Amino acid sequence: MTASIKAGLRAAVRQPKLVGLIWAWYGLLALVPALPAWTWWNGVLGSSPEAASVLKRFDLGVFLDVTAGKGVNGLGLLAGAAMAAAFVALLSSAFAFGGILEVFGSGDDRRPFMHRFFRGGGHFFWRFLRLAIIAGVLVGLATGVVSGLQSVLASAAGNSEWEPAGYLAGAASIVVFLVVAACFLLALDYARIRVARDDVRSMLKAYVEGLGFVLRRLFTVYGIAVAILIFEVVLVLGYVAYETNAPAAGTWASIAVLFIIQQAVVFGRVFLRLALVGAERHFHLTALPQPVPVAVPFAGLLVPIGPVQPAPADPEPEQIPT
Amino acid sequence: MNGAVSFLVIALISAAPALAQSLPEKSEPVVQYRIRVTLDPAKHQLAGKQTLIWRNPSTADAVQELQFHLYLNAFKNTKSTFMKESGGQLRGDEMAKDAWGWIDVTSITTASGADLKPTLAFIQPDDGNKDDQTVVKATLPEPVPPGGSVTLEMAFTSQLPQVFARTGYKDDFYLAGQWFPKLGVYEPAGMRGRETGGWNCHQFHATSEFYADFGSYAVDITVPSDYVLGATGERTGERKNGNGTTTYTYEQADIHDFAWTADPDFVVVTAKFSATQDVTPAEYERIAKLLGRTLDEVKLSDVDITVLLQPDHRPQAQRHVDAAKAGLKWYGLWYGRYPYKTLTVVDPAPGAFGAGGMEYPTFITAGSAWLFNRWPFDKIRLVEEVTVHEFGHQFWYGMVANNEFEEAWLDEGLNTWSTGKAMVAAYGADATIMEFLGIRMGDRDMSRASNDPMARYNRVLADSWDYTPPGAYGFYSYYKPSLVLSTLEGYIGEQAMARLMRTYHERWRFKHPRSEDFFTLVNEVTGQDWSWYFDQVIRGTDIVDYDIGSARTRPKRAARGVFDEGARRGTVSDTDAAAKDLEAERAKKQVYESIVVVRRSGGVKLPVEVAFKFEGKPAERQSWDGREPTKIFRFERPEKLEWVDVDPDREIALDVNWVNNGRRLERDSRPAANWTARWLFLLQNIFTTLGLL
Repeated sequence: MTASIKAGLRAAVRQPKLVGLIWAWYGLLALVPALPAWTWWNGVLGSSPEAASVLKRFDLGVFLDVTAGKGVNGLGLLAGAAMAAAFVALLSSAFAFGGILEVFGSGDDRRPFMHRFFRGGGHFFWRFLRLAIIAGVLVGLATGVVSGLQSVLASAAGNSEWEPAGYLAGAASIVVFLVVAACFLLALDYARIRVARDDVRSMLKAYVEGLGFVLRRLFTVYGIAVAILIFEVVLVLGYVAYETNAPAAGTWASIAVLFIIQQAVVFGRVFLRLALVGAERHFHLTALPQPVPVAVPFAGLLVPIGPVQPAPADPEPEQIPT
Repeated sequence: MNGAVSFLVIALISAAPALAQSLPEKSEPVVQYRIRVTLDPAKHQLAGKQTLIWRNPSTADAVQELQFHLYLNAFKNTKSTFMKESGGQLRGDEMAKDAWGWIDVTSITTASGADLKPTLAFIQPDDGNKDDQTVVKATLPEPVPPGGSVTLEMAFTSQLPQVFARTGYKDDFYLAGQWFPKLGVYEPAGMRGRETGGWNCHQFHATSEFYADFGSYAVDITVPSDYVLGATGERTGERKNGNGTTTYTYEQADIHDFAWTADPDFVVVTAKFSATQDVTPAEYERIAKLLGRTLDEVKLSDVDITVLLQPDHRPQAQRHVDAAKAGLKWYGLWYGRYPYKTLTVVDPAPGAFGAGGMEYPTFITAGSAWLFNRWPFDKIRLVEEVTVHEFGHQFWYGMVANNEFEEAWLDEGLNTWSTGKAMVAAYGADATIMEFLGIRMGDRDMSRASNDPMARYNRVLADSWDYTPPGAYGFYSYYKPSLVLSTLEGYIGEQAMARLMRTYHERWRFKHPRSEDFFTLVNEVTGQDWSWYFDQVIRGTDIVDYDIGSARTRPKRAARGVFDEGARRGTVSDTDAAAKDLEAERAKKQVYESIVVVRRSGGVKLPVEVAFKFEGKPAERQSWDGREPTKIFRFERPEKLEWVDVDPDREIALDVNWVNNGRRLERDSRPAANWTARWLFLLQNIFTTLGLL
């Protein structure tokens, strides 16, 4: 586990361009709802003496005045733009993971980084999209079942005469929910790694195998994920500590510092996510050093038409047409 | 309001008369209740008997009919007016299924033995809903002469609902509110503006509270001996009955309602409010000076505080006590001494939040949660806010007992404003509601947050059940009146406002005022007619909103063209004028022409101050009566105009939007950059998380 974590961190360190590209892409996407917000707020606050208080702290009164427009639901429009951009972000994850895994797996390839990234992204996009849909459906089903059970437990705890029982049940429910959801999402990661490594075509089978991989190696899989999560929590706590103790962002210099720190945090989060993928990839390769033969579903039921052709050999891993 | 709204207020307000008058110590009792009630925990029922003496307050009317509130019948079925209006939901609480409540008057006789039961008839004075049984009338064999009295012996059974709308049970917890047959108010001609005498006894509505006459209560409450009991008034007796029950006696005069609570799990916390230790001599002196009263007049008295706390909320005991003391101190100092010896604060059981946040004489319910025991939730001051607010009702509703059915703003609005003041005095400004994860929220923020620019369809002065939609009741009876008072204080100043509220309390303590009485007093204390103000903001529906239509400042150009000077005619060419302009600019002798258009976007016309800040000069103020939709201000100064701001001290709290009140001539993008950086950061984190799932 430790070796995988180290390998993952090393892989991410070796690919600063990759981290930068992913950070830049989601930053660009975030500008879609951020730019209208800037236009709106600069229009309203830029000319208002009342906005001076914003430079000292978050002023709820000013925020409420700005958002309580006459008939124009500015927040609603921003939320709509954010939702649309979030959908694109979700959709683009299939492309991003194709690129990430291709870059990680093509260390010997001397072609430019961007070439490899887009090659992988394009090559795996539809397969990773199908994988994500399968994972999404299964996460939905599993967490739905868990939520149903939790609501029964929460209801019982809520009726307890010991008041903290309700809160503890709620907290436990969230933990269980996250653990279950994480299981299916980690399975998605391992399925993607398997597909990229062995060029698997059946996504359902790849996902089921990914799930099997996770369930058979639960301790290590979760161990790797939790270790990276701890780094991320430290990063977030560091930011919260800065926000709590730093002077209010009232000057251009302090706003610039805030912005730089925020971007460093986002960059750090992207780095850690890529480190997790790298660690998972290392662990997968270690646990399953040989390519896993891919069985053709229902192969025995196929009735050959015409002369019988010899079955094609398993594709070689990393053989992506360029 | 500082400065120059001279045409309106300042001169006379600066010498606001104290209008000192004695603080009434007692009410003129109209009713006297002697009640004996027994709790049956198995059925959640109360079996009661009451002796009721009613004095006819009229000097002219003989009264033959009595009208009683049977509030618990609101929860009898889905056809009651309350249930139709509320849909079984109130204040975020939902009525439990099949946990109905009702009250039956099982017997009613006069002292002479006349049976009135056959005369009982439900009436529906508000909506004619024949299925509503929350008001019943009884006909006496003989009318009660003016000033005379009648004694009734009554028996009743009350089925408590599972806690809903202030009253009921939850497991072993009981909050008995509006639990006995309660007489309405007979209002003689002249009282509260009535032309003829008659009963004021409204049905129980989803958004209405209560109205009753002052009197005395002596109540024997029998509960299982392991229950901890708290009630209105002072405990004057305790008797073990030998059958596993104990009977407690509570008595209190000069009140108009009685509530009690019982729960075997209550943790009892007692404390004493000390008039000498909890208020400093300097505070007494400051308040006496503010109010124009003597030190003796503002002197408070000691009060025994009892907090009945849920076991899981033990860490919040001191918070409840401190909040109760804050209420006793600041309301007492500002408005008049709390006259009772006891105050009981009830923390309802988990799942019984519907019983929380309610006021009864000397007895209030707060409400908290285990979560608020510790950081970071311990700085969410809902416990303090609710305790201070409900305590405040001892003054606005308890002693100054307006009709909450018809003029809810007179207690809820005045009390919301007073709560904000007391919270600021006790806990500091800007964070009286919460300090949570860097977000601070004060009472004024909360009131202003609900002041929707589109909220122009109701008026404050309305029957409480007439607000549409029903949720509007909260804004029009709590928050808007609070903003009305804050704005009034902005106009007349802190001292005049303090004296106004003190005088209002003194004059109407243990009485039933109406809105008109408050308005009259405002005029009296300020020496000005404020009907133009109340007509718009209490009786009217429109909103207040001032903004800047346009503002510009630019160098004044030298004149160009053909000019007659006596018999001579000269021409100033564009080139010559431009040269003059350049010369003035180089010599730094330019004159700037600044033009500002201030607009009144709302329908309410209020006088305002407008501040203008010129480069290198202190801000200067001008006033505008706000009668026309716009006002143009023109200046020719050697300095550029930097900014303009309407109501620069933000004293017109009714203004729905303060951000549009001003205009900077040179844009400052830092506030927007600050917000946008945070918004971008939030979005990036969301997208990065989603995109890398």
